[in-house]
Amino acid sequence: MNSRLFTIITHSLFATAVIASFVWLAYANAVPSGAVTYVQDFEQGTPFVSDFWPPERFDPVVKIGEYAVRPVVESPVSFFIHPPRTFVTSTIQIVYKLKDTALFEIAVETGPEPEDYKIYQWQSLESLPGDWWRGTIVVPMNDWWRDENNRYHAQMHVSDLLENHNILWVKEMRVKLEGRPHGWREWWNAFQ
Amino acid sequence: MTIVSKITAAFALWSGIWLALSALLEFWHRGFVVHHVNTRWVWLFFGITAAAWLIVKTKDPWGQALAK
Repeated sequence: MNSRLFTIITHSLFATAVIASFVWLAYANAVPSGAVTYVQDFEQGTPFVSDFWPPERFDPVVKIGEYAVRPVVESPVSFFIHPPRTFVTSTIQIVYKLKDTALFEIAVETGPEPEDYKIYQWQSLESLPGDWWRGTIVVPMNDWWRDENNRYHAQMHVSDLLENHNILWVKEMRVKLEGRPHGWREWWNAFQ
Repeated sequence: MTIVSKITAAFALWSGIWLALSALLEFWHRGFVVHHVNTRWVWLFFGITAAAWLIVKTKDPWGQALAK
């Protein structure tokens, strides 16, 4: 084969692969279906839903049965979600178990100051086998403050967790984001 | 050798372009690339192909002529 033709074909193939990879990335970030679910299971992990913070308030991941579980020993702990664009609503589901009964609530941060948060009551609380519970809240994304890195922060509050030597085991955090922008301007703003 | 040189050159060039574009997109919108792609494999790919291309392209890569 002609040497020059071979070079052109080789580079064309690689250029196509590079362009295709960025088209796919843009498609994945846009979430054109309008809904996406991210799961933090403390085993596989996901960059879209963080682990807890600060680290001194939780213990290393343990195995309970076949599941990897994060034990939390002091309240509150925070975590963040980092969606690829803005959405309208977020449905947060937490699968958890408490060593002793206590009040457990989720708060979303509404501003940069420590006191800027809003407590959400569980909208549904479902009992699962093995004394696990699945709590669900629906948060309008307009209520939720977004930091300079486009991250939305939330907190887990458990009453007297450290004082009572209680433990909160978190098995899974599932975040479903929904909402499709309308029109080019909204699509563009969704990435800003 | 010419075919190997051309193919490694194309691999190194386009994986380098991919990394440069990724860095720009990541700067524009954090998480755009790194949430979906583990870039350490692209860095490894770029490093290996760039080193291979340099070795293949250089007439005396190990400096044997100088040693004589």
